[in-house]
Amino acid sequence: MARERWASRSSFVMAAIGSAIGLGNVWRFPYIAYANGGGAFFIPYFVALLTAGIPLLMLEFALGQKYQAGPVGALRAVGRKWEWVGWYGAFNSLGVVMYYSVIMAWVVCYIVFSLNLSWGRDPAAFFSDFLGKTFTTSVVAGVARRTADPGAVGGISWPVVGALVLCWLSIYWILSRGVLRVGKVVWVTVPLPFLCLLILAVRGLTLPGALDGVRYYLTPDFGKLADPKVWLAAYGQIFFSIGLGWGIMIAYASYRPRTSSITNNAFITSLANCGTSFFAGFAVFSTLGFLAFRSGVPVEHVAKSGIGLAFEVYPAAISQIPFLAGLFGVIFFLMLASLGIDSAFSMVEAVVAGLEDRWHIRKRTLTRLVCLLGFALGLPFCTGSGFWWMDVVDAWFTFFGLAVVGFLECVIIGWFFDTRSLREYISSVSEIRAGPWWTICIKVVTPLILGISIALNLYRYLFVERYGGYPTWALVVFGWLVIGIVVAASFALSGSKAVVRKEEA
Amino acid sequence: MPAGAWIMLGFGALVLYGGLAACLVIAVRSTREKRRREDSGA
Repeated sequence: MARERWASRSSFVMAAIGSAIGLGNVWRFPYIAYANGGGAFFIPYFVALLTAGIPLLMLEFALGQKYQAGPVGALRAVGRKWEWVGWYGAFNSLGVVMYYSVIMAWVVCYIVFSLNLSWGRDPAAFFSDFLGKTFTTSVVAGVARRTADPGAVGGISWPVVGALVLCWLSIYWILSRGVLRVGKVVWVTVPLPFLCLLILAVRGLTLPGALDGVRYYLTPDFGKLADPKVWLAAYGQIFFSIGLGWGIMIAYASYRPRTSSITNNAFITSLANCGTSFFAGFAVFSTLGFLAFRSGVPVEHVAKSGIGLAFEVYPAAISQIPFLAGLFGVIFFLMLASLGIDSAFSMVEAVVAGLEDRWHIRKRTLTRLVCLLGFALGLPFCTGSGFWWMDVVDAWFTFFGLAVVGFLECVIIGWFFDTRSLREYISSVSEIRAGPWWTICIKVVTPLILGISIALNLYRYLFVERYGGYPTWALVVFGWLVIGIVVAASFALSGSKAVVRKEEA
Repeated sequence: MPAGAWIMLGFGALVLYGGLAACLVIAVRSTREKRRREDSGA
């Protein structure tokens, strides 16, 4: 059977951009930049983009396109013994989408909450109640403190389950007709968040105190560039933001003809992704500046990243907007939903492509099965302790899932494969040649930085501190055990009997 | 805002949006060229 094809180059590029741009561009990058030297952070960020992000994206595009297969089939084509790395990447996608979809479900609920600003005067308390977060109250030195209790499951949040069903139905609907429908959907889901960001940035910059916030975001502290942690943060941000190590880009590129350009598509995807992050900083920090101004505190008191920014700080700022506050709430959460949906369905696509390449089962059936599995795996995160479990699972997939796959891809292609032939293939089909710089980045720079980052995190969470202050059992069960199961399943499936294509036999 | 902030704003915008614009121009030109070759070949 002929492989599916994107309708056009632009559909493919839009889908790759949509996959790369996600929630992290809005809620992670601006804070990371602010915390690591402000405007000076752009220097290590661009260095990381050119020496790790773009080369690795070129590698993933090249693997998918050259072997016309998803992550599993492409790594198998590189060498049978490396197939497990393909599965590892695909399982990373499955692992992340199971809780990513739950965050999207929260976002959907918050679109509704925005209509009447349901979070009231205390968005943090509202968010905690909404999730039914489980806490343990302890008294330390006469002061009562609430700490996370991942052991008390608590009740299930039915509104979140309802929204989760909606998210998975959307994902299934988009993927059910293959990349042709994906190619159409991304023409809505990719420009929509840009439009929302633009509206939020313009509104944010016209609020009192906004320029104070932007000053925090942009004022450079060049002294920080001497700190290796800042460089590691830049490489980490680039690596996780572009969507490397998930198998997604390999799967997407596999639906392009073998003769399609690689280098320029990688540049366009990466630059669009980073350009969105850069722009999002203005929308976020102008609003934080306004909130700080209204609250009479310095910006650093309200600066947060991640879930705290989206569901606690930003709603607090929205409530203070003098005119049509609810509308800006809807726009903000609609932006998050549209940012998240194309990342979510691309993760499912990576898993489906892996299974399809291996067993040649009908893609629609596989999509249905993976969506059902993703929904079922997401249900535990809809409970009161789900938030804490999500925190641990997310950290472990980031540190020991995605980073490890990226590292292995570089080592396998750089040191156990004919890198030169792959570089020549890339150059032969691309508008921009891949020079020796690409080989150096793949062989040395990217694996070195990723290796250091993995080793540091391993050392830190094994010997120095307990992640997030959670009990050891929670870290073992939701961190190490989950990653252990993923690795074991990757090895088990790579040794399983495959339905081999005629041309392979 | 201090001058340093404006400089980094210009630097960031130039690298990201300038780079993106250049890549898009290359892609559009290449696609047109490809189409022209296909048309003349047909």
